[in-house]
Amino acid sequence: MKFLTDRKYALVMLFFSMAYCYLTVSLEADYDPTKEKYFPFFLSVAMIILSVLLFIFPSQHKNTWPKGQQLVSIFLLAVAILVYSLSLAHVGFLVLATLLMGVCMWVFGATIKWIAPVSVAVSISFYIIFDRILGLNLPTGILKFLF
Amino acid sequence: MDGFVVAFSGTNMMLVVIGCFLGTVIGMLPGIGPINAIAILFPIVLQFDLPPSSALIFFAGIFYGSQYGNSISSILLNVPGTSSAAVTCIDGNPLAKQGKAGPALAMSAVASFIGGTISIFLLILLAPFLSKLAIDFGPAEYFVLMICAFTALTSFSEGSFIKAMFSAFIGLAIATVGIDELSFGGTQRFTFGLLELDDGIDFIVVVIGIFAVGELFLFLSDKANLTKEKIIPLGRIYLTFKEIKDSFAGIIRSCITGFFVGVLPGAGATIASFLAYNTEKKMAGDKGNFGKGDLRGVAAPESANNSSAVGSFIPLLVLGVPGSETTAVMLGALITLGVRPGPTMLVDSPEIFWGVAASMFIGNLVLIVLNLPLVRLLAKILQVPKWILMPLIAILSIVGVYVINGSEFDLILMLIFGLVGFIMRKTGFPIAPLVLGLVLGGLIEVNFRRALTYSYGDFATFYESPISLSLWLITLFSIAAPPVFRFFRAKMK
Repeated sequence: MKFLTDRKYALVMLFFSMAYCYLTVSLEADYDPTKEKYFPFFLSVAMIILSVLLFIFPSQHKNTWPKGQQLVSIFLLAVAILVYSLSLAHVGFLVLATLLMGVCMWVFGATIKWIAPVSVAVSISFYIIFDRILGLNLPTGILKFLF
Repeated sequence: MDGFVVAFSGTNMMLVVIGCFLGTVIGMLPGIGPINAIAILFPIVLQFDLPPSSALIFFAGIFYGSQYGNSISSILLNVPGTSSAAVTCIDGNPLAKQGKAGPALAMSAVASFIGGTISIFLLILLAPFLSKLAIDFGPAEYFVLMICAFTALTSFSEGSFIKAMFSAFIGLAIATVGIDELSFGGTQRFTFGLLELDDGIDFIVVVIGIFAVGELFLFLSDKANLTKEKIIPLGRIYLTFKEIKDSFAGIIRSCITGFFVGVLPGAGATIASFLAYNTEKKMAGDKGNFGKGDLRGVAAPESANNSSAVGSFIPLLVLGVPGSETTAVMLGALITLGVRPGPTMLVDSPEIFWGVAASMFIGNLVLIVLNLPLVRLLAKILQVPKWILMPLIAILSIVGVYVINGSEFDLILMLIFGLVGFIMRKTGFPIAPLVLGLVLGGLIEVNFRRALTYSYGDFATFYESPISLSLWLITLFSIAAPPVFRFFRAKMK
């Protein structure tokens, strides 16, 4: 039995489907179709069946995961977004957007001399457009003393 | 009908023009298509408190504009933004390499215009007739209808049917997160005690995550993407009379094909352009230069493309059921704007239908009048380096998601779904069914439970009425059809 990539995915799918199934079964209601347990439970069972089916009938899909430099870039971008999300309220939009823009530009191949000025410019313009002109609220964070 | 006139109001006209232009610019960026554009711009548009018809008009403009933008990047860069534009590459790019990018771009605009305009008239003719059928829909019929649309979309997806179905179920499962409105007292489902999840997972956050952030990850994972673009000389950007005359019949034929293919849920612009291209290739026979730079090879898919886009609005506007990935996102947008989708949408809110029809017409006009002369400028925009465009998309998406609810939690969800979307694309799980599942999940469940409540638990309600039975037949047909289609496609090659 060849262990095609689809079969590996089927196992992962099975794991998640069973986890979801467990969650649906733990809901308090009964299995009356008009109540809130039936539909998600049905979904989870269907997903389990599909996982098994994929294991039995895998397609010829081939993997093309990124390697090396590309993987590093993706990881950096993900971390940058995560840091942005977690600290937005405390550090504020201007600082974080500049940093995020800088990381993005670097990851997408910009030369060093452009990164700093463009990041600052973009972050300030976005702040002006979105916070001042459009009236949407972007947190000021640690730069509060400037406003 | 006065909705058509209302759509010509100053605000709406301006929205169409801006939408078309923005859509074209965004659609031109390699790898970015109408869905990405709509996803990124939606939360920002939401802040303007536009009436739903105006918002939809704006998005129809973006939809249209980005289709044209796709054609531009297909012709100039050989990189289609969506699969439907891939057929345009076949003759479009050789033409560009021969220095005839200008006429190719012009043909794309003209064919789209003619195809689009005719199909809009078809839309206006057919829709009111179809909507009369729709009034007999109760929750049971509506449930079966959505199953049907679901199956059609899933079975026409590329790749493994099992994987597509699984994507669909993931989408449905995501939709079940949150407080259940139908149950007495409001049970929390799958919220893990997190208050932020009580309202469920916001559709926009998922869509931006998958189509904006996910796209960025995808871009980074393909080394070839980071090289610089070469300047291609455009040549003249108008068509000779002979060129138009030669392609005219083909444009009309492709338009009709495209429209009716577009109406079918699931079968979309890709199949339409492919069919049209092959038909015209056969019709031209030996006299044609298809594959090496025949203008008709650009005219056919462009016309079919455009008219199938119009056609795909019929299930959305008349039945409230999306037939494609893009219309699924638009439906999600409509629901967020407070429009009640469904067969009665045409009766309750006719201004939406007429507004969209009018905007398509104006959009087409704008493309010919504005975008075509501007194409030299637009081509220059393609020269803007990736390291400015892509980060801008990142920042725009992040700002967009934040302003929806002012929630950092949404940003984290966006990141998670960005990774999910990236992983799904890499592992061959189609995304469209997930989007459809997410958008329709709530409605499917509500209609299911309502139908059973009215019938006191009798499942027969789902196959009693003639409408339900015909829909089940269509569902079975759409499961059986793709293998048949694939067989024919292989034969045509």
